[in-house]
Amino acid sequence: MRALCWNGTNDVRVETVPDPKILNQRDAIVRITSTAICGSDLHLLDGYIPTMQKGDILGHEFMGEVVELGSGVKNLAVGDRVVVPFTISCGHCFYCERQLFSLCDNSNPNAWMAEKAYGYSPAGLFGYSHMTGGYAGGQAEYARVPFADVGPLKIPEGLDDDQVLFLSDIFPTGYMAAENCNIKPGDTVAVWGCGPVGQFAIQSAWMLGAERVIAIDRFPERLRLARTWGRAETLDYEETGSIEALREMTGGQGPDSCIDAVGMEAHGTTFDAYYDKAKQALKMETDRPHALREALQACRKGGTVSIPGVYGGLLDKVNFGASFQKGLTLKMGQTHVQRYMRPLLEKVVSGEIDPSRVISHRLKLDEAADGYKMFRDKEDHCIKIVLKPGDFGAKRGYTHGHSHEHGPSYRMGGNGGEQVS
Amino acid sequence: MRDAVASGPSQPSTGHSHESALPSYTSYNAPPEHESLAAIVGSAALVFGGAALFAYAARERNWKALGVAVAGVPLAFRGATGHWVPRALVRENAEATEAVEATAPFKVHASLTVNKPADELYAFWRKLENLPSFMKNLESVTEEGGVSHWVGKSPLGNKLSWDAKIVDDQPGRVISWRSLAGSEIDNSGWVRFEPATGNRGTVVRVHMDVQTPENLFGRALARLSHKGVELEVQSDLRRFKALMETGEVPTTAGQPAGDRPFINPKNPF
Repeated sequence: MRALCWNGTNDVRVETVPDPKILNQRDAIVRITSTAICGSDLHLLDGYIPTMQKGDILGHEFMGEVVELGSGVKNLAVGDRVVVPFTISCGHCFYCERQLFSLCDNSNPNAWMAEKAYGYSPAGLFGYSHMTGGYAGGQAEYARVPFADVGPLKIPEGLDDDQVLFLSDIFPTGYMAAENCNIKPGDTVAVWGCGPVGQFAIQSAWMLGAERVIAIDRFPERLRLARTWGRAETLDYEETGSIEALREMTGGQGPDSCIDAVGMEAHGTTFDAYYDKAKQALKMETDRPHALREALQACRKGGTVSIPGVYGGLLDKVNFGASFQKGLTLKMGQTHVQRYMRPLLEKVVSGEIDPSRVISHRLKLDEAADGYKMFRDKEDHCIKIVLKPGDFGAKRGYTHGHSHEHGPSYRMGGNGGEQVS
Repeated sequence: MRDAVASGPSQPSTGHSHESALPSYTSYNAPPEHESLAAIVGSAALVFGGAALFAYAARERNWKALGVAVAGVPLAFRGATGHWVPRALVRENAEATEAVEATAPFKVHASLTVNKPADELYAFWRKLENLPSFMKNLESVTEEGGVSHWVGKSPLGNKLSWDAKIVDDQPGRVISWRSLAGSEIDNSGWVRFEPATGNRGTVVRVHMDVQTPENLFGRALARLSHKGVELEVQSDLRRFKALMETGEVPTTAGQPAGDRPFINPKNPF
């Protein structure tokens, strides 16, 4: 099959690799019909996540058709159309029983690596370094899905791949970020980062009863989507300092909740952001927590800072004193995807939300390497890329703007492009 | 030597006053003499350093090199034994220290909470044939007439076999074993199943005493491999937990990947 492999920092390629096989009785093999590139995949591309190996297949947002099942999977049938959560969870351990699926005790075969770094190991993840299991990911034609009787969600007829694909990660991630904010009537929620997770956090903040949502970014197309689709007030941090602006906008009080939907590779224009950049370049720091610093500083007293953005290691110059002295609540972690898939699917079915609105580009799997570069550099107003392996794109009626023969394929139009322009 | 192992401080008694006779597990929190990572790295560095000086001397073969080689001897000796001067040459204390060392096999301890009742866990473990399904370095175990035959691999990869017998067996609570005379690897140990607090299943504690040969090589082996063996036992326990809780051991062995170099110098993992 064809699959996108990591070959080193800034080096991903679509290669021909062996097809996956059933390895355990609770496995399933899924033929992938749609798969997306996640902002957190860029941390892998940029080389900031340790324990990657050359040859690793990336991708953790995917869906498709079940083509083979292990003897232990009774709730799925060959031919079922499923969305696969990015967290691999056994369903029976202490954590899974408490719906803390991303903390599953049993799904990481390399738990010892994570224990060295974090004390205890989180769940295994698809395509996200060996420390979280080293599982081959879903930017491929096929994927092996362990514990398939727990994770994959069957999709009812009548829904497009693009409408349900993001139940695999970013919609639940944005939703959990908003839920972690403990939103009360009258609350103002500020969201750092208007990428796909930020967009879903904005949507979810409204669903959970926020009175105001303020979105912060610097890319016009992302701010525009936050305004049009997200009905948020927006702040371009390159024009105004976020902390001062938020103070002014909230009448000197500060937002009740702050969401850091940026994570470890934050960009900024203040001194600390350049300090991080220099330190990270010298390999003295894994994470650039600029957005987190701002969120901690900007949050009102007794407020909540919710962190869906990924952090990997040691953070420098984080004002812990601000968190303490203001009595903040911090909530964070990988998403417990399985907990949210079903209720959020219902919101899609009922038409309350159309997650496909974040898609700006649809590419063939073979164009994935270009897609990574375009997504990283925010070229062509890129917000979210969906990859269509094999000829599924053609089969399912997607129109690619350009074929292989006609110049760079990533310069195509598509629905998403129209939405953001 | 055998007796020293069998009656060592960590061996649970076989009597009825079992509960009180069991040592408190907290006693294993005290770092054993070989445990510190710095000490292990230091020892390894000295051994390799000494060996490197020898290798250099062997290649150069001149007077200067001979001096270097002689300088390497104490380094390697210190690395392997932990002492600069052979114990036998130090008159005072020599006897006492030797006695302690002789009764100090390398100890491995690990524990984990499994979300299953103790009886179920005990029953699976007690069927010794099941052990290789989660113990990576074990190839097979067969039990017949109270004696079990074990085939496994040493930390260095060579095949080892030994016979053992169960010396204490309390259903749902404890299994302890001891290798019999003539075993290639002299070991004893126990596994205990204790109810976890808050209805969270069972705390499984494994303890092993392994007696390495009483020579330079054996001591160096104990020093250098102790941490690795402990990690291995901890991993075995984790596989046991996964097998009991989920019915399978998580794995990626056999999954597809792009071209992998044998060793990637930039990313060893």
